Amino acid sequence: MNDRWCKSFLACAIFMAGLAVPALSYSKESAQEWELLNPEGVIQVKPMKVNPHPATLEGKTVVLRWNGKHNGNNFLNRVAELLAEQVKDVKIIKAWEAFPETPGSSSGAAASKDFAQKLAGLKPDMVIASQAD
Amino acid sequence: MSFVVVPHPLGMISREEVVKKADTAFPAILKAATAWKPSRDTLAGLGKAPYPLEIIKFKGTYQDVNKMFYDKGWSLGLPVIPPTKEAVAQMLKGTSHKPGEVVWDAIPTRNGVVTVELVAAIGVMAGAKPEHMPLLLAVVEAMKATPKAGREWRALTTTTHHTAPIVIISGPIVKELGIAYGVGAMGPEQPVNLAVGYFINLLGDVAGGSRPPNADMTTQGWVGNILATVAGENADENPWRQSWPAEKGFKPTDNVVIYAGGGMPINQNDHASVEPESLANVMAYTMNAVGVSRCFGVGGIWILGPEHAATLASKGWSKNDIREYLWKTALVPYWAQPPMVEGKCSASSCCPPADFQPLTKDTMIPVTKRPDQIELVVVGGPGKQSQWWPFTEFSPAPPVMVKVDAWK
Repeated sequence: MNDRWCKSFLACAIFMAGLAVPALSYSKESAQEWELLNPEGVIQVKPMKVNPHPATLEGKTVVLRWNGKHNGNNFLNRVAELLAEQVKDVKIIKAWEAFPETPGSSSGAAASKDFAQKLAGLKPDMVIASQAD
Repeated sequence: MSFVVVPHPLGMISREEVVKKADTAFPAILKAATAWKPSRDTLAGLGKAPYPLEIIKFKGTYQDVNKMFYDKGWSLGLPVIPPTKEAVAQMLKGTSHKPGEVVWDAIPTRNGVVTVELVAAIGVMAGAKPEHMPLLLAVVEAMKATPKAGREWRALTTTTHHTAPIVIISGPIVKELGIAYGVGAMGPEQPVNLAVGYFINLLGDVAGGSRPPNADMTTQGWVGNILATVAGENADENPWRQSWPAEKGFKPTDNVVIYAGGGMPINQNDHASVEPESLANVMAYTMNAVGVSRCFGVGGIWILGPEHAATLASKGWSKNDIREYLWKTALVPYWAQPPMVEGKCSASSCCPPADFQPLTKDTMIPVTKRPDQIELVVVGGPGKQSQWWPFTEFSPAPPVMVKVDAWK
């Protein structure tokens, strides 16, 4: 009986081990070597060169540009007040008053360029613009 | 450029709160105006040839690849199929166009160069197959060919508004490729539709790089910004027989991709109307959702379930009859519209044309400028459901239609 019990136990153990081996191999995926294509693609548009910022706004012309979103003009109006209080001889132009026909948000690249040229015509030393919502 | 971030909200708060925020931000504004210098004046890798794509050697499991892609901003959170050299080479067999051909020279906002090879790589990632390549290339052509030369993608992908592209495919290719057009077409278990929808956002957010800093800045987020909606036109159950592209001059045998941007869609589930006028009334008032459908707006698409389409056509109403009726009926009083801001047109204000004056608070305002801005297409299967997809002011409107076959 002991012998039969041992054989049954052994058979059972071998059977259980047989079940475990594939489970062990599934539980760990092997690392492999990959050659993957970079999905970003390159950029060929050259960055725009930005004029250096002036060391001070004293005596400079500052254009404030509102994008038409609610309270953007009120925010910039307050910026205008603070500039006038704190910066000597600063000249402030509010673009939405200088060009009231121009919509706040540009309708496209051509309209943006056109508006940028209008702003440039004011000869600003600095443009402070409200963006986003 | 230098930026000063002012924490939300700025809109819809009191003047006193605005002043307080401006006072808090002013020192930083002054510093940015005078002390800012650019952190770099060139981009790494600028000027590299767009073809062939860089090969990245990586060791790891499939899960490791996906983690790497996610960490680099090359996926949107769902798994991607790794774009191996072999998989991309196989994908390229789906088109006769050369892999180095530039399809889009600057996809916003990052201005990435999109080649045929890049379309294949991202197509692999999205789960597309080689036979889908002409479709993917046509989608890219459509994204680029919008009224603002592709710049609408920048608006669609960087806005707080829940809006995303919608693509309808029409022609024999719908059945040839197994593009879903019937029941559940815009839902799960539609591998071609889902692959194309995933491709659009992967292309736009990876190559286009719209990460300011997240891939989705919509206020609550929207699944359309991971999977754009794609469906086939249900030609079998179109009671007017003429396809949407055929209305615009294409041949009935042309395979056409129709690209638009809109949403979120508004469902309409009229189970009771048996007359076209009754159903059209329900449709018109569905369009009056002033939160999205702007006054004198740029239009939208009615995705008509076949049963609703059949009711509309039952008394001989043409699509133009439906457009005219909707345009005359979808009217909202001026007082219910988003107001002007301190007497000025703000970004979402209702600002009728000057010749529409005089305005009173009870003046009824049409949803679109013209009836022909209301598009109609049949998609779907059994059920009394249709969807209104309103366009926004930055949607590609009117929708762009391009032929697929040129990309075979």
